[in-house]
Amino acid sequence: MQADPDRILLVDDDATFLETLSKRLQKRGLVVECATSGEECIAKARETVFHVVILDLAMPGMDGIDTLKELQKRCPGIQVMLLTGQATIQAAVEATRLGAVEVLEKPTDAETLIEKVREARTKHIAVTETASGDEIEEILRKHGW
Amino acid sequence: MSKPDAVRLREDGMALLGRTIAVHSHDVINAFNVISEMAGLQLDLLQEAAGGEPVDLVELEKICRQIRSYARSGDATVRSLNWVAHRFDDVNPEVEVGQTLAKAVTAAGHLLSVRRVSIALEAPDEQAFARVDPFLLAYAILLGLETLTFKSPRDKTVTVGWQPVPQGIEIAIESGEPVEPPLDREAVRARFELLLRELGGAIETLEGDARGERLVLTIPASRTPAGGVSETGKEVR
Repeated sequence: MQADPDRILLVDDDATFLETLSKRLQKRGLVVECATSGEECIAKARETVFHVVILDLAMPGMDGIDTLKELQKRCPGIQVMLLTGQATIQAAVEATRLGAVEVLEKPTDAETLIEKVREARTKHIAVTETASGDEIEEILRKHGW
Repeated sequence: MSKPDAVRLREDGMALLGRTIAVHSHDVINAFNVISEMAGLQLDLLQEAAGGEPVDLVELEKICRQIRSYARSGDATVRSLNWVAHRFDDVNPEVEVGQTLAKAVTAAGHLLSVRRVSIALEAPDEQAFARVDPFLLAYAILLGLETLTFKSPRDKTVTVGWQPVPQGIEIAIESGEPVEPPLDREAVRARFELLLRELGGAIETLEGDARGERLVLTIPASRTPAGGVSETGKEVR
């Protein structure tokens, strides 16, 4: 197992789907947390650092697109993938425009999903490093160091 | 009914039918997806067992039961969609009101599933028949439910019920809370009046107050719950 395993947040309003997919991903070495609504997803993403959030599109209340917007606002740099049973071209374009790194259609093979998670995590690391570098530069500039 | 009104009614009905098909098919796809994931988990467990790990029979049994439950749910969804689709070409002029309401409420449950709405059906334990266009009756119920749940707050409950009244059969759709944004009474009334002219019914009230909203439609009965014939019925069966 990796020293720093991939930590993902799975979001879907179907609890059985969440339970099943999370078991399959955990068997493959990922650390998985689940949320059954957009609101719960936002709360968990603010409490814990996840490398990738995997979002369903159609959910009661806050849907996948609204959740994606909130995540980008509240958790900058977070990598979001959409995993949906009703992917339309418009939804995929909208999600990509809002910063989703991937739009996948259910059912997706577990190995393919993990491959996409790893790709997204690489982007997460790059974004986090760039952000940290910018913050360090800002501190140095402020203090005239 | 004038031709433009009839065309508008059919077009509105087709739009609602389209939304209903989209939502039902999404629910069927969801059932298939969950079944697919569970089959994948079964394969994972079997591969682990082939690799020498103990077989988790409890987990396997749980998965089998869940697969069966989702297969049944998918089947029920397809049957609900099938019922809605057949109302469009149903030429039977007499409908059993309780059964039609129950089916329409099931279909509306799918249609409104992303709105966090629960629909309660309150009906007498008896049968009553109405001589109406089955599609238009289903359309009126779906439209009423859709109207009263527009932008509804979380976990809203809407009640659908019917009862025999001297004028025929009264169908009431009630929301426990006000509709947000406020219901456009005139526009909704106009659409319902158009529908009800064709159904042969009438809106008795379309009222709202701080507590909620209520749509009531009364349609002529062809047979009363007691098995007799109502005055508005055209034929005795």
